[in-house]
Amino acid sequence: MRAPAEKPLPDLPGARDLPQAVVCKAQATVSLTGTWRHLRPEYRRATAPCQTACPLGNDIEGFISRLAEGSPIDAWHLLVETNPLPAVCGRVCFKPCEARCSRSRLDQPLAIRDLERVAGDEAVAREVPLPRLATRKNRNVAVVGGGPAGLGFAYHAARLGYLPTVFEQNEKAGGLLRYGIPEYRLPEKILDAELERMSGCGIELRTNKRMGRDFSLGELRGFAAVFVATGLQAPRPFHLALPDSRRILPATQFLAKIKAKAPLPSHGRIVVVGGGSAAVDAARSALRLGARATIVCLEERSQMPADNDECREAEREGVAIEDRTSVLDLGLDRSGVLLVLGRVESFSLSDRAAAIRCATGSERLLQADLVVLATGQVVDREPLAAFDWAGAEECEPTKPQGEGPIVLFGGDLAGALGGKARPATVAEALASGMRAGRALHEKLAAAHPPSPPPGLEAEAINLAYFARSTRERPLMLPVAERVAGFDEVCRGLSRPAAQREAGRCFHCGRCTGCDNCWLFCPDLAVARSNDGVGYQIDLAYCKGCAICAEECPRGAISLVEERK
Amino acid sequence: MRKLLTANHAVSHAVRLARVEVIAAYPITPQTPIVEELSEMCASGALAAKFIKVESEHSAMACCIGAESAGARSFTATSSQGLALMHELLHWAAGARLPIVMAEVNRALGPGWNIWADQTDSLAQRDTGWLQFYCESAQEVLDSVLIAYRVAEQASLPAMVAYDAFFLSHTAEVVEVPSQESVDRYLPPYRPKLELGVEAPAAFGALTSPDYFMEFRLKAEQAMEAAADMATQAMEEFAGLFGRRYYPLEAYSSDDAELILVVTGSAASTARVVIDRLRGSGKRVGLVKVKLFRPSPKEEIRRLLGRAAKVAIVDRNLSLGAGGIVAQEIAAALANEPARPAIHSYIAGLGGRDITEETLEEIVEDALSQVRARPRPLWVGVRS
Amino acid sequence: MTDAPGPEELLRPGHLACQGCAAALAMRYVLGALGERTVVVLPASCWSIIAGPFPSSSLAVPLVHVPFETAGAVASGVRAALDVRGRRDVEVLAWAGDGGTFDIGLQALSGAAERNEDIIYACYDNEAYMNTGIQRSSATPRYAWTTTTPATSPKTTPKKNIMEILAAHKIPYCATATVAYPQDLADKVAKARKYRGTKFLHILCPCPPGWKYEPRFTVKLARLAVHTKVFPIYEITGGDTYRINIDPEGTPVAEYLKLQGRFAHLNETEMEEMQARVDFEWGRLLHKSLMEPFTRQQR
Repeated sequence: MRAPAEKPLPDLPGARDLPQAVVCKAQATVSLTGTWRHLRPEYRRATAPCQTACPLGNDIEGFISRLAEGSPIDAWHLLVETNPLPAVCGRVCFKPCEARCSRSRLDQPLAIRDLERVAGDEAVAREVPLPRLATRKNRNVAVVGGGPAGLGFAYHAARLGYLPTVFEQNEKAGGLLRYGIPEYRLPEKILDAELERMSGCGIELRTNKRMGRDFSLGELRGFAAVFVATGLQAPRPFHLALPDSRRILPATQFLAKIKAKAPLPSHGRIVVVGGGSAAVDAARSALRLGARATIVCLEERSQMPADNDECREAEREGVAIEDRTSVLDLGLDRSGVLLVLGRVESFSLSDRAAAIRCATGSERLLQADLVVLATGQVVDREPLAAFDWAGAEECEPTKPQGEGPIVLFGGDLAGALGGKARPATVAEALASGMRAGRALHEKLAAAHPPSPPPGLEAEAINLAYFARSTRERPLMLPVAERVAGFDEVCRGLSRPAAQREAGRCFHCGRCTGCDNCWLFCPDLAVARSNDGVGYQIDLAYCKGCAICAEECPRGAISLVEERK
Repeated sequence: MRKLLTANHAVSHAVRLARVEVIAAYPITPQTPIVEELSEMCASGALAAKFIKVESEHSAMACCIGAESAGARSFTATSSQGLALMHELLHWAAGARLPIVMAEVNRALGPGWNIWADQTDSLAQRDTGWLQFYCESAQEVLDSVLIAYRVAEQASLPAMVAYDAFFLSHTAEVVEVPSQESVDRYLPPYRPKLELGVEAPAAFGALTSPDYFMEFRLKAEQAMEAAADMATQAMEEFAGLFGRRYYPLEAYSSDDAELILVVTGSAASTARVVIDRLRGSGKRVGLVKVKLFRPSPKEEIRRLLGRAAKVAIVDRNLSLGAGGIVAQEIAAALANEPARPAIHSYIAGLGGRDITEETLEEIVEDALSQVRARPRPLWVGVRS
Repeated sequence: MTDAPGPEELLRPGHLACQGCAAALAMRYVLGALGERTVVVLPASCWSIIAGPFPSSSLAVPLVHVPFETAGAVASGVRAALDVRGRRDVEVLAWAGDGGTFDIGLQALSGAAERNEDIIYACYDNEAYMNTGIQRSSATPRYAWTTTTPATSPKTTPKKNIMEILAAHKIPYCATATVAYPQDLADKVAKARKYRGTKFLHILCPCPPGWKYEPRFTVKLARLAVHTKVFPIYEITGGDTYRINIDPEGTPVAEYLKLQGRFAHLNETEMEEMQARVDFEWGRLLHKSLMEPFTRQQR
């Protein structure tokens, strides 16, 4: 039928072997379109922004998932891998996590702190012990300072197999948690419960042991390592010379006296100078003593370093806030202290000096029965004097003294000793101890803990897949009942509210099996895994369009450049 | 049963007898009476077909393509402009090997508007892959529709039955309408060789690369070639069952003819009268009627025309710039014959102008008188 | 949302759609909702390629390729054949692009719709002749660049309102959908199956090469089209009862336009004009959705 071909014909069926017309068998696979791909999607675990923001690196997404499943104790177990004090932190944390919560781009951030408290309280109520720890290495380590940094170190050292001994100057451990934070914010029974639980995991506590008074660093020779976290013990020098009077007190003393039920004015006016957390704590405590309370601070109300919620509650309870106000002078008179206040135009603060400019002619008087100075703390160098700190770095094991133990320092002390200055918060202090413990272990055991997955990029969250919802509010004691005593103000989330709130979590950076990648694949290259967990991408067909990554609500798919 | 029927109504009865399942058609003069009658038949239940009253001839053919693909015996009818509008789909139907049958009433293409007989419309579709049967009477039209289904379904190719506007379409004759039983014996139910259905899902008419296209065209061409024999056989069987005999090329008094007149369509009847008369006056003239135009009955052309000295071809059509289409076909079929007749080409009867006995006699006399064939066709009955 | 493509995939991997092709997704969803007892009628379009060259087919259902302008008519013929042969349970899906629907195939579609043929006609609308290389169609939006409406002389006429054209035929069901909302699309296919007569689905399908955006943004653009009200998601039953199915967030139109290279030449004034037009059209649609449907009592 045909003439001889010059070129050989393709090796394909001839006319007699073809169907009568162009008819293709259905669903014959067409091409291996995977060869078109430039970007390869890969399932990944990324660290959620909340976890990245958490000084302790709490697995927030993880514990909230467990809460959402209705398993608060499972949630707690996940929390205590990093944080020994969830019930405490669930009350007093500055919650940097919430500031980074992805949901805040849609409506309001998750109430992460409230949720942590739910898990923490549940474990306290059920008296769940901390998990028994791994093999003991029987190496003793000393901790100087029983505040959150020291406790954090002790806890993580114990978890890593060391036998920590904590030297605490006071009668009880807890440091600032016990003596600085008022009962209405952190009930002592909660603190006690969590600290007691810690002692159950091999931490020895020696109280009434102050370094420089009851022992010296040199006496800790028998320990493999010493972690120094004595915090900031001295009030920051006030910018005015202060008359010596029982009517003028630093906030630490004021709050400690309340804890110790020492006599204090129960009427009249208490003026608190300062804009930080301690100032608000002091003012609200003053109200509870029966006094009128006024806060005098340099900052504008909205710029106060104290937690905004705390300020708001303080005002609701009746604390007057004189913002953008400086104390120009103060003196004693017959009935108390007379303060001369001025309207602040500008100010700058450093450890050593305050440069404050006030508007001329703005002076006014304020009468106080007691003045509480909440203008910050500085390091008390005296107990540390015996040690040569040159070359020591925060949380870095250093061995400056020949045969002596490895020495580390951390907590609020860190900034004062030339380390990185971090916000003086409970979580930062606990984290400092945790970092030091892990660093020590790295040095002694050459153990390198796995680093967490990379942090999730904010733009990886696809807000289209999340519905707006309202943040659950914790139950609060009515204002009228609050100032009658020191009962806890915030009563936390109810169980149903907690479960609803946990349900608001985006689960940033973790595949939850939502099916979007499978659903939106134009190339049918995504299949649910046979074991029912996660998905598999058929790279023979995946063209690399990257819709799966784009439509993943929570950034659980990353794109990798294909190398050809 | 004998009935007085126009060729159009003869088609309607043929469609009924063929038990067509899907009809899609659009009105156009002079085809319209076919579908009017079919509408009545469908409405009365005489024909259990689904009649899709489409919005254009284009969609009529598209519907037939869909229906035939899905395994239903389909039918449409059109004419002239309507056929031209279908052009793209005529190729598609043939390429998809769908045995659709169409009645095509030969009518001139405008402008100017002209609704009368002219075969240019169907002959212009000669390259689309459709079988083409031309008819000279209402009876032949009815019979040809049945034959067309038979051959088309055997060859998996579409077929059109063409006949002249008004001379046949609107002229009533006595027609023998066969019984349903006898037609059922002749034309079994349609069994598609390939069927668009969910039982064996497949993709029809997909993108076909240069690696495959020629092979599929070759298969279609082979089917076309085979269809010529199938047509002969189908006509023989038809004669056996119904007693009426048709041929792809029908010779009349041509055995010893010196000159053979070649005509298509309704002019054939007129030609028979003219040939008889000229024979009576001693002229050795004969007649060949072209019934099957596609596939081209080349063997028959050579057998029946190859021995004559002269062939006079009457084309009721015009390929502008090339002349009569039938003449070209016949000349091409004879081109490689060692001794071939002179081809005398005549254009006549365009746009419904009558081809009378005088027209044909004039043509025969002219051809006989010419020593050599003219280089161009002679236009007959025209005012120059 | 997870159930959208149906229990069984009727589209196979390895098809020849471009990266990020919404038309492939749309077919996956629609076939998933229709199931395997479906015959697809496919006029010339991108899908002529996606379905695969001989001897391949990317679909598990029967499919007939047909000339560009014939989807409505061929589907009518297939329906007729299935009906006369007693296969009422088999769905006929005409699957055409915007060119095959808004332009060259409009007559055949109108014919089928007027006859109320019992078919589902789905137009996957990527707003230009993409398979031939991005030429403008009557579905191309105003001011869009295409290869036949260069940026220096962009299209000046609006996108044809195909839904209104179909609604004017008073067919039982017309609906819009996009690939961003597969469940909505699947629900509409399921709803369409319940009506006897012509059902029309208008599916907006963003096209990465034609609209000039990264393939990953296909679903995002489809979603933005809905939330900017550029492409409202609604349905019309009986040709007169309008219902809006997805409440748009009212995202500024500029957010939709700015993701697409085909609108890169637009200035602020033109964007504002487009916003105003979108708002106006949305208002009209809203108004229609609030009208009382026709009832027999109104006679």
